[in-house]
Amino acid sequence: MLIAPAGFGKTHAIAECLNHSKDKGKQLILTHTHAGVASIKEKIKKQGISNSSYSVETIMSFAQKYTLSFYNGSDIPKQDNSEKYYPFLIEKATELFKLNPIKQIIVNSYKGLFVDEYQDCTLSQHKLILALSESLKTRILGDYLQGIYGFNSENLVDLEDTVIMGEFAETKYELDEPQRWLRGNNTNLGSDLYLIRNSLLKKMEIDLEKYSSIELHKCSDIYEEKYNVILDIIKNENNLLIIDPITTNIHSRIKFIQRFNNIPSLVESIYDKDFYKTSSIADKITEDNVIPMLSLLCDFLFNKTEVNKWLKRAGLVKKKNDNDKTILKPLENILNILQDKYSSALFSIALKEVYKLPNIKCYRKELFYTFCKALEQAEYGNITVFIAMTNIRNLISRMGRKLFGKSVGTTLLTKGLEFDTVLIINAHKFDSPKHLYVALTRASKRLIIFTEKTKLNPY
Amino acid sequence: MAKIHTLKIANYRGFKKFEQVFGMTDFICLIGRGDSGKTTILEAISSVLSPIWNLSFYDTDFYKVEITNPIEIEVSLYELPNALIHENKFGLYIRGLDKATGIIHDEIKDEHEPVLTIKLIVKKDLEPKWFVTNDRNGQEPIEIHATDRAKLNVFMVSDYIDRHFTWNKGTPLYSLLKQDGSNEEKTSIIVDAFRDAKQNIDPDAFKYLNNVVKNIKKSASNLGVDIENTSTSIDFKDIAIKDGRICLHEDNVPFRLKGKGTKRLISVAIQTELAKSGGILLIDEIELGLEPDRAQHLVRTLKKPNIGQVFITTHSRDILVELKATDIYKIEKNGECLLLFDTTLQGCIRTNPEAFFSNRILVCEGPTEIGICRGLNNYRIQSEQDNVSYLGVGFANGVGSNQVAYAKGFLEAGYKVCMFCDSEVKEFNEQKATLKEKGINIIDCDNNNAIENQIFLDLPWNAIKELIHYVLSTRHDSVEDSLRHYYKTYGELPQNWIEVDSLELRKTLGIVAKKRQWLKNIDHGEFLGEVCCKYLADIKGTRLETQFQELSDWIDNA
Repeated sequence: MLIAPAGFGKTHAIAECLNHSKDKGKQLILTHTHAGVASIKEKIKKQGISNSSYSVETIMSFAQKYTLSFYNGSDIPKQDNSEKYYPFLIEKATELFKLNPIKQIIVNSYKGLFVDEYQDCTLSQHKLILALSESLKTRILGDYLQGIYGFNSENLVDLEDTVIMGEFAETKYELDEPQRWLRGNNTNLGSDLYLIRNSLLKKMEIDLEKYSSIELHKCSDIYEEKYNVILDIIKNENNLLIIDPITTNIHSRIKFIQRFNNIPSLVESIYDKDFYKTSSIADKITEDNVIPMLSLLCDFLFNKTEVNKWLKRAGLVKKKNDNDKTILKPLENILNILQDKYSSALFSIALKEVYKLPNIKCYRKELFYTFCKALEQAEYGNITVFIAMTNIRNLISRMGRKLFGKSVGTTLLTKGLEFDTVLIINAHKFDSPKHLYVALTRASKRLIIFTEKTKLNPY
Repeated sequence: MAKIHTLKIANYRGFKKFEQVFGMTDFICLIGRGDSGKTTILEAISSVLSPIWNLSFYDTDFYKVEITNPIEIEVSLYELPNALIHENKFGLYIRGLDKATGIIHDEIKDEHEPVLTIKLIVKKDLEPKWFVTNDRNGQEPIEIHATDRAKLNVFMVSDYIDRHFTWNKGTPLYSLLKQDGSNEEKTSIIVDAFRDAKQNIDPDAFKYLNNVVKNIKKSASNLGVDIENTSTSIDFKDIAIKDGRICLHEDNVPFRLKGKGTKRLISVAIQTELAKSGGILLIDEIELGLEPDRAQHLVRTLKKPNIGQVFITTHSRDILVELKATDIYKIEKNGECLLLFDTTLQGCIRTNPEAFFSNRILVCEGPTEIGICRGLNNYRIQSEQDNVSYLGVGFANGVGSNQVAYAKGFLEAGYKVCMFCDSEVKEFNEQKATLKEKGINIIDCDNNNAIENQIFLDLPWNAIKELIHYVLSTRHDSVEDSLRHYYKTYGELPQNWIEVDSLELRKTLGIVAKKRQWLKNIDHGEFLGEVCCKYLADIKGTRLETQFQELSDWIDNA
């Protein structure tokens, strides 16, 4: 077990190990989030390590691979029922990893196992890793203070509990160099964050004004008081993450994107239910209901007020102006064909036509484009849109994804990632030391905080 | 490395539907009469695990040429090579073999042995497709390519083995080259050798052609073409190694010109070298072109414990006597599986190997009875009836007390069985009813007689005189002294006894013939049989006549 505070080069340590053991066979690296997979891949690639010597996956997709391959029962829960589906995958995979023939496959495929972000393991995932550790030499890496990733609000493993951790507790080491800030040329930020870490561990109040490396803005309404400051930052910083502590719904994040002219994009959760919701709706479309369904979906995907100027449940809005008529013509033609014979690929073109209409904005581009792709793949693969969507999301879940440019996310969606600049809004709303610590430590060069109070008590 | 546990065939050549579980067996010998499908089984295995990417199939490969029913050949393999059960290859497709029951499960348990099932499908487009498959919910078959199949090291020794002596891809020699770690970096070793050869030939070899070339250069330059740097060389295109020109030689004579048997032995030698790291060796008609002793030596060598699996077919009794009963699998035409032999027949293999190659077996009490049957067969040939070989009937020597065990063993192995036996042993007589119930035909004597008693009771006196003269010509001891001794119960043996037909004398002759073993070998029996057949018309209504009639009927499969 290697304890590594955020930014202390945990992933770097894995890369070093790989370099050391590259001739001995393939190492399996498991983590929790898809963002984490992407980031580990990138860092290892930078070390020039051949990709035949490692394989990075999420614990969930690794469990899924084995369960779907070997489980022969017909009682696998539906994938959109994530509260049942994912725990089922973990439970069955844990049983499978204990079977001798499966162990042979694992030993034959991998020489060792790394598990990153171990503090995010639920107790059932911990059992799965223990089962794997019977076959593979296992090293776990993590940080107690970053344990925020509760799957289906299950209990997380406690790295400090020697009974639960078993043999891992006997081989505990800790990293002590703030790699991220040494590299980011901001050693002050590194040492400030280390001080904050110690205060958080002792459950002490954090007075942000004491840390000179943090750019602090005190305000009660960012849109009213600091709009131009934030807009400047958004325009000028190219590698930027905006973190919002409100995780219960995405409205606050979408509002931010709306207010700042749709410049930053939303980081979607791979398992977000809206991906499956839209697909289920799309599977119910027929020649008879294509217009109301298009209207319904457009209201959901785009800015509703603008959409309603062109398209309502009853049909296209009758335009008097010739120019408007010309603009609507392509969409009208497509709808005529769709009412005659429905095709999901053509429906995706109809959606894209709506997006082209004046003043239409999409605040969830990833959702929109993935949905269009699913509509196309459903048609060409002769499958339902729901299955096409499931395939696409599973693929991303396996391959991992990268975040480019300017993103709006939560601590959950961005943990394990690192950005040049991090902008935290509503910092006073953090109610957990772990979430606050994760948010603060995403920045390697500039950390900008907007908050109502400068003294934080996230306990 | 990889052995076959189960083989399934559908719609391939003579097989509509076939399934055989070999279990954890390293040596399998297939026997069966001509045309029963032995070679087809080996070729099915060789096809489904073929390292060649484009095997050719023809309409005639389909069962009854019904091309609408796809050919399907499926093998389940255990002791899999590591390269194949990697997670990225077919590791997620393994199934579990329960070694205790021999059943393959799709739901894997801890005690199971990993198994991969490979299936070859040929539809009417004649394009072969190979898959790794299982019956788990939601796991679709995945294609397995020639390079992966090649890792299973399956090779067949048949009549067309000349290519085994070449270094082509897909040959055993090439596989050995790939296994030899020292050549790992030099994969192009053969092509490189060729390039070297070309370089060595070029400077001198063609100097006698230079004059002609010079003249052409001159003509060309008159026409305005500059080919000043022209010389003669070998066109690399024509020495591509694809066509197998790089091959083994002895004293500059290529191996393909060697004798049939030697070629096969060398081919086996190459492949046993491969089998050291595992592999499946298929040898059709193992005795072909070999003297019995060389064939036997080959079988003994192949049977030595190694890590590979060997399938052979044979028509040779010499091969059979080297084997254990459990090594032998019999195939019947149109059979849906193979027939197995249990260990009770072990002795029988040594005494009657040829019987195993027939479909119906006449288990005879001893050599006399076998001889009698042979005599009957001679008579049938003379009188233009079908002979036993044509009818697929074999004779087995039951060696007296073993006959019941053998008859049961053969019956269980799927043969039709008839016993030709005495009636003098009480315990045996008591078993006859149950044997008949099991389906064994029994042809015996009456009144607790042995065959000798029966013959001397039932034959006309002229026939008996022929037998006595035969016995007199073959015995060194005094036939008359023996007769006189055993005749005592009835009084003094008459002077002209040979001319006097009496019940007392007939009884005495029977007893002495048995006690002194007058007719106890196959040759004597054969003579006896011929004499009986000659007089059949004269003994109507006797037990002996009934016995011969029953034998003849059973041979005719009536």
